[in-house]
Amino acid sequence: MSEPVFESGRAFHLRLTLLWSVIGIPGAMLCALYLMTILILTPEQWSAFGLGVALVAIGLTFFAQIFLRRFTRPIRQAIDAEVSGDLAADELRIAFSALARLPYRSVRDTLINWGCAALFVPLFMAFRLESISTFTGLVVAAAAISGGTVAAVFTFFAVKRMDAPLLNAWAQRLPDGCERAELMPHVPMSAKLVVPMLAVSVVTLFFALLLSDTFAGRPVEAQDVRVKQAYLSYCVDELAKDAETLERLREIAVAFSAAHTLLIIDRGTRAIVDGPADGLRASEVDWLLDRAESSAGESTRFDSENSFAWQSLDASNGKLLVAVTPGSVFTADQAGSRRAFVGLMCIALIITFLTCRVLASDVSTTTLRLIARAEKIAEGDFLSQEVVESEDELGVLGRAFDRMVGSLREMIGRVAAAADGLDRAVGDLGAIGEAVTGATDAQREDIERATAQVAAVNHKVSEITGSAQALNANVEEASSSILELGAASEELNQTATTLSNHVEEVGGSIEQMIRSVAQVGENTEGLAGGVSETASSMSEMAAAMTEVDGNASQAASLSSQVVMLSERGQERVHETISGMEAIRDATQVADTVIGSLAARMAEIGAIVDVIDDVADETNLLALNAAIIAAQAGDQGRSFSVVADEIKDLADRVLTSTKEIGDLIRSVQSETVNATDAIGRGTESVLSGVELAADAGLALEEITGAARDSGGRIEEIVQAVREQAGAARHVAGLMERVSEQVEVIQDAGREQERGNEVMARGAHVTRDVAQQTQRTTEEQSRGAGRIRHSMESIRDTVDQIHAGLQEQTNSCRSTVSFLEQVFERTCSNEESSRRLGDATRALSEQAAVLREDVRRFRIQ
Amino acid sequence: MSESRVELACFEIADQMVGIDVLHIREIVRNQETTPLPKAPSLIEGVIDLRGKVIPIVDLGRALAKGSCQAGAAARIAIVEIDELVFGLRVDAAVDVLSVASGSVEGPPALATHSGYDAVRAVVRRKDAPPVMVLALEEILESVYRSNPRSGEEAQ
Repeated sequence: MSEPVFESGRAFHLRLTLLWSVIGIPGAMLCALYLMTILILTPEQWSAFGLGVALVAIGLTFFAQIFLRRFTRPIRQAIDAEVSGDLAADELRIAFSALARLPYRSVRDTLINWGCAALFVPLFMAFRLESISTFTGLVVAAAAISGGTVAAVFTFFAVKRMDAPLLNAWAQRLPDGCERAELMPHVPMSAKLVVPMLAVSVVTLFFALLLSDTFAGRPVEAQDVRVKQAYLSYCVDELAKDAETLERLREIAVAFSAAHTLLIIDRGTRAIVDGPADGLRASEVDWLLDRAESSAGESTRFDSENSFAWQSLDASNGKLLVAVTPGSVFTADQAGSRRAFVGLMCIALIITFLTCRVLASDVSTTTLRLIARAEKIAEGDFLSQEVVESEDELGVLGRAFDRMVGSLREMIGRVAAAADGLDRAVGDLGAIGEAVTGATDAQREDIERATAQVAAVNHKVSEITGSAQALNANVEEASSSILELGAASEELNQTATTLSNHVEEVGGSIEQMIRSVAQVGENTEGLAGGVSETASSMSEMAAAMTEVDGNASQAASLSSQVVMLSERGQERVHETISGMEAIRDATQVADTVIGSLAARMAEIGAIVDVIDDVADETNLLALNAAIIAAQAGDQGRSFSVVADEIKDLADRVLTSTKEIGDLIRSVQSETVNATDAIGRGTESVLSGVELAADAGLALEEITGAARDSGGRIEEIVQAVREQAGAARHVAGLMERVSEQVEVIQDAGREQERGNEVMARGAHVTRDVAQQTQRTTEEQSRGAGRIRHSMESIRDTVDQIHAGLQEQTNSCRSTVSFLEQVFERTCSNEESSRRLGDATRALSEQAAVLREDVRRFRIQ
Repeated sequence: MSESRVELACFEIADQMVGIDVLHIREIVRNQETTPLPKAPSLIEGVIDLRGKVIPIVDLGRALAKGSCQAGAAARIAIVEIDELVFGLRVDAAVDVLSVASGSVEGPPALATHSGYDAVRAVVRRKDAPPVMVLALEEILESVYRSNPRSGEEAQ
């Protein structure tokens, strides 16, 4: 709150009284003059009437002062309350209204005072002093009225100037322009103009009356001419009686100022016959004689400083008596009246100038304050408490300024709030964009990890394929060994058959031996060779069996390795599926985030629409303000600058909101793209999950097949071991055959010991040969079973190989799908980067908007 | 400011700029729905309620035979006053207040005035822009008076 303008109500009243006294000095002087006039009157002219008139005038003045004092009481009380700091609003309103009406009240009182002087005193003088003419009374009344009018004008503007600071200070405490407008008296500027012009007119009328009074002195001059002619007639009469009296008459004329000198001119000789010879120049004499046709007359020659009056001394008009008066006397009178005229005109001019200056300064002070206010607004300072208060149209303009500043403050506040909201929304948008980028990064990392895992699976599968191929090769090898074994068995079988034949032959030979013992030894040698051949074949077969056994064990270990690798592959496939699901979850999070981003965008769009509306409203307001400013003419020029500024601002806001709208639309379309990409990514992930599940199933089949193949190999091993046992048994039997052969040899050698023993031996031999044949047949069947098992192993291995191939293809398609997902993720990242760019652009726009708003100080 | 200037409020009618002396303009408001008046001159669209005052509205586009104004977001109603008569002119858009020197104001082309086309009082030249037609509001008012009362189906 600013300092009080007056230190107390008493100080205000003192200043007001001092002001009235200074302005009232001419009036007081006029009153004193009238009082003096009354006082110098003779006691007979004193009367109760005159005294009464004077008392009425004084009393009216006195009562006017009392009423004025009562009128200013609320103002004084309000000032005292303001100084002590407890000024109530109602009190302030009453005091404000009184203060606004104080200049008019002052004018009324001044006019009452001077009106009393102007009416009563001249009336009294006219009644009581016969020597004062009505004209003089009128002049006095006009003087009083004009003086009163001028004094009223000066009082008005002086009081207004004095209470203007207080009025403006109080107007700041009554910020409502409408309320102030009700409290202010409404005086149009035209009325303000009319009053000084009226004052000037009255003053001019007064001085015109004075001038006419001055020119009213002309009859005096005419009187003077008449006096001069009468005196000349008197002189003519005197000269007719006594010619010597001219010198005396001349002295009398000079003494009474009737003429400067007297001359007598003879018309015939055209010469001065009496009087100073150098009194007139010859040209003047000629001029005079030319003009003086009549017996009497008077004239003033234009190029002479003298004026003349003349009369004929005789009837024949032969001699002229001429009275010469120097023109300087008249000239002096004329110069005097000219000076008076110039002086009066100067006074009228000064009064006119002063009244006009007072009026102009009243208008210009208010206008300058309005301009200062407008420039502050143009600088964006809406907080200025400067209030311009005036009771004319400028006051109305000032209150319109207040309303405009209020609505502009409110509006810019709304724009600032909207800019803040935009800023917050942009911040949210940036956070969302970062979240999207983070989610996309995480997604990309997941996909890279999944790709690496799938590559590892692929690697393992190719390892398994290599192992399966090695197994295949081993199985082939085992198969060829078994075939070899089969061939050996066949050979063994043939040998056994041969043995059987030999035994048959032995049977026959025993008969023969019985018949020819001589050949027995030879046959026994052949038998021993066959037996040793059989034994070597059997040991060869046993070695082949051992080899088959080793290969089968190797195949079994390979099968278990295949099972183990398949289980590891299954684990990797499960890992892949869980990675895929993580990708799907991350994608769904990104989708949700982008959805909320789109919702935020829609909110921003709504805010931008609000800003757009406000800017449109501002534009309309600024246009109306520009029209009002244009109607105000030159005084509204600075205001129109403000209006243009506001309009430009509104246009810039409109452009910005349009750009923001475009940005939002592009962000929304990007959001749709991102949503589509995420949808496609999700589909890819789902198909990847399905494929991985298929791969898992395939691996399970492989595991089952491998386990099956392991079981078969175990069977092979079992059969081979069984066969090996049979072979060993055959070998044992062959040992026994060998022993029997030795026994036969012994028996052959001991042939002499008896034929029955030999026949029993031949029987035993035949049994053994039959047993051998059975055994070899059994061995041949075992080899067939081994071959069959090997074929089934080979089928299984082929099946494993095909399964692995399938798994490899699955891995490859998984990798390609993952690469697609990776590409989509990259495009997602690109989208989110563009989203970030858009957000940054939006943020910049918001910063520009906020900077614009910050130019205005509104709080 | 020794040079005398003319202040014009500029409006857009069918992509053409027309000007009205700001001394005739009381206010510019947003476009709003009018209530039709039965048997009124056909150029009067109807009336609006502007802060408790009923004001007749003339479509300036139709008054200048350029077709009805587009009721877009930029459409405005200029409240004008002439001979103490207040009415509204519907325009496509309110553009700006133009302050031009009196020197750049010319009379309308003689061909136009001789052919009875007197709605344009003057033409204001502008640098790098098409000229602005300054409208004679009295003539527009006269053409409103001369226009026939609207028939029954038009009033619908």
